[in-house]
Amino acid sequence: MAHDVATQVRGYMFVFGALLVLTVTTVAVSYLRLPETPAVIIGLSIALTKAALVAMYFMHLKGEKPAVYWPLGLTAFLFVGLLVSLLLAEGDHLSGTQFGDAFTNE
Amino acid sequence: MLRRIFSTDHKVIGLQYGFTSLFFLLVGFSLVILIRWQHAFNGQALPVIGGLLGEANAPGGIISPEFYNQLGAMHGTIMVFLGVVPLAFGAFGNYIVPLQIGAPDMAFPRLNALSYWLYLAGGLVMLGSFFVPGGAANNGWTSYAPLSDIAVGHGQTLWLIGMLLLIFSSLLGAMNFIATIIQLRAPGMTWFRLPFFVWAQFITAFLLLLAFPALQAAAVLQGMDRLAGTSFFLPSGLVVTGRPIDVAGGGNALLWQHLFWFLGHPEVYVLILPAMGIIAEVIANNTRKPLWGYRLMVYSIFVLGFLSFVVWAHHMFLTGMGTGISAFFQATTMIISIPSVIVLSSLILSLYGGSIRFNTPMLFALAFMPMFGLGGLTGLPLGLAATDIPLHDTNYVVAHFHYLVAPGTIFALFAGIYYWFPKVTGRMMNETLGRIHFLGSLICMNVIFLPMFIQGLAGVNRRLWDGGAIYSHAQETISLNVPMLYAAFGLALFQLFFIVNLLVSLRSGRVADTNPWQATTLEWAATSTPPRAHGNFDRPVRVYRDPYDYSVPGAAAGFLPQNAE
Amino acid sequence: MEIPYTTEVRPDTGLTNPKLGIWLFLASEVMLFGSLFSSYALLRSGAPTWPVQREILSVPLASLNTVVLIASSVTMVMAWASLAPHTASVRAGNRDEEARSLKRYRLFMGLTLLGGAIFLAVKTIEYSDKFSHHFYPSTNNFLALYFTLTGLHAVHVIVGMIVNGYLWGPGARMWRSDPERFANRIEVAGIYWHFVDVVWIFLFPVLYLL
Repeated sequence: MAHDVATQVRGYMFVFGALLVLTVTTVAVSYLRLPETPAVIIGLSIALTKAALVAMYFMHLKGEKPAVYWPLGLTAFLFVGLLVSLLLAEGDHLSGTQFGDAFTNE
Repeated sequence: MLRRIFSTDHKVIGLQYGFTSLFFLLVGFSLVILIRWQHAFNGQALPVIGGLLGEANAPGGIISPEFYNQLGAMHGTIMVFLGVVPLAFGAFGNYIVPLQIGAPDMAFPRLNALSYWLYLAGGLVMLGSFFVPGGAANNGWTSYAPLSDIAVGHGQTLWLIGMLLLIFSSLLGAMNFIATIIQLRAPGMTWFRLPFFVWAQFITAFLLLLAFPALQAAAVLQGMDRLAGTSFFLPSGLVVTGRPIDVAGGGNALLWQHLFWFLGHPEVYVLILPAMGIIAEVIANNTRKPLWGYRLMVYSIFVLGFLSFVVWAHHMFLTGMGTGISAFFQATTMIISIPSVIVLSSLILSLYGGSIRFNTPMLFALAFMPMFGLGGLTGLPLGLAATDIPLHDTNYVVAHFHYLVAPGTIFALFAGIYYWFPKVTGRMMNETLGRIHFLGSLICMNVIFLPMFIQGLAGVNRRLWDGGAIYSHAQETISLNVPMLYAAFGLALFQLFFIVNLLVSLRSGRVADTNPWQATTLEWAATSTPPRAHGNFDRPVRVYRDPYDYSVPGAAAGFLPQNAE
Repeated sequence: MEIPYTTEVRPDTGLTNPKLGIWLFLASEVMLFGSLFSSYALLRSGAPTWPVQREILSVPLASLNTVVLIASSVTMVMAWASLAPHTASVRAGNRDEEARSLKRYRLFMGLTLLGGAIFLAVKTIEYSDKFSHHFYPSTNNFLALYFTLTGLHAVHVIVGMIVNGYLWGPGARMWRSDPERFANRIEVAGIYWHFVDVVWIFLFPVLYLL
């Protein structure tokens, strides 16, 4: 029992370490002043990784049950759907690309 | 005493929701009678009541355009958020779902009580907003920006606060229902033995849980615009009464619409799903046979629930969206009619070969089907952008959704009240009064809403103070406002039969045994009347059968309850 | 009257009611913050110009806050881990183990509360710094989004701290009376607290770095 706890705690410390490294990385990358598109992709990817680590290990989402996974999966889909449709419908800066004509009324 | 008021028993909470929502339905209905008057007798003083409304709202007894706008916005808000949904989901859901699944209560009884009191608080804020300077919100129930952003007075802000309270109440309730249905089903109550009513509430809860937060976000943003001077929904260069407004600008008024309708569309399925659930129970019971296509209906409402999240921009076809996005939403909107039709067809097919009993709940259920059908069919031209162009924002739209909610959902709710009244009170409601209530309401509702299609097709816009009198090309249809007003009076009159029936039957209705409808579902078969206060069931419940084992050959009473071995 | 599966898991779903409940609630919170993030994306992508965020806001302070909140998440899960292995012994009446585990729990939960307090203090410094330079929500859409998003997040932090404070203090009585249920409560409160951390994990790059 104590061994299990020790393993678990080591696991949490690993995750903590990883989160710190990722935080330093994301701040450091921001100082590179990259152009918008790569900056957004890198920044959000790092954030997503950190969030996944917190969710999987601290929130015990790893090995959770289907009754939890299904609602969360649906939620993730709807959130992404809302974000994407909002941008496609109204994001004016998308016009001018080859897909822009279908999605704005200019 | 306080323990009883703040009870955590789902049955008490269900009744609290029930009485409160019926009161709000009455309030919402009263508001619209004033609107009907103003449309029928444009600019004429309203006798008696006109004086009571006060000089601010009705100078000389004539309803002012500003007050008219308050009536319109609050009628919609109150009916949808304070009336129908709390009754369909909060009242019926709370009372019946734990009983039908064999549970002692909801998964989180104290959160359940909190949900009710948050709802009441939100409702009181909404009602109170009529009495602040400037009156209640007057920007439509949809509160479109930028008008709602800049609306003077506290009414709109109170609307936002009221909505935040209501949304929080609904989210907690939704969470409770889902957890309860997943976790607290009695042994033997497998998923496909659930009564269709429970399935309907389950899907409804998911819609509330995942769609309402978008309106929460929007309300917070609009609150910031109104109170902190931000410009989330205010575009640059907006000019109000000749002067550019002094804000940073750069906002997007359509952002409000997207966030609102992301909730707004699933919301209409929240309005109809519990109704379908009630109708299914009443039909199975009064045809003495299982529902036709029960599994198909369950899969259909899953699809319906999912699709309801991806059709919202069909409320926005006229906002200048591109052809690609427009095509997407038209397609999803057409597709979503399929599961609806499957459910309606299954309900109709359930009648075939049945031994139909024409009691009051069944009368409402039978009328529900063609009324819902008409409402649904009239939605098709609205769902296609090209035909939506002349119809958008006209009375056609108003008629379309009222057919679905009034002789649709509200009829289902009446059916539910007549049906479950004996379980709650141990007495039957009076059949004769019920039939009069039914027939009168059916006729009056059709006289009110059918002409609205005609007016809409003639081009009469909705939300007009003068009821369309200004449209020279639609004058023949404007005269329809007068019979519509009298039908509204008639509808009010026929509700008296219902109210009297309710109150009198409480004291002296015919005494009923625990299962007067000879129903198979657990709330009839396994509980006393009313169900016992703590734990609902005298003995632990075990389920052996499908939900609608009616007319089983050899069964003693001609049906087998779900808990019969 | 007992509601089944409040503490024991339901066999076919493998869940307790509170565990399922908190995830359902968080699903709605994802949609709430998701709607706000989507609004940010729309308003920024549609804007002809947008301020350079890192020049208005303090990246060092926010980086500190990020580390603080992540650390508080670690201490929160450690608080739960201090209790979870000992529920059986406490149930059996082992007072020594009960006292030791309670002490460890209170240490970690206290650190979590400290982390939350530091976070809020830094946010207060940030906000007053903005106000003193006449940067208000009404100044432009970026600041409007910044104050609204971080403000709503801060409200969630405060609520979490109130719950955690109760569980540190009077709520801890349940460790003796119903240890399994108490440990589950800490886990559930932890899941909420970690979510608050996750939201900040996204707010930080979106509002400060990009």
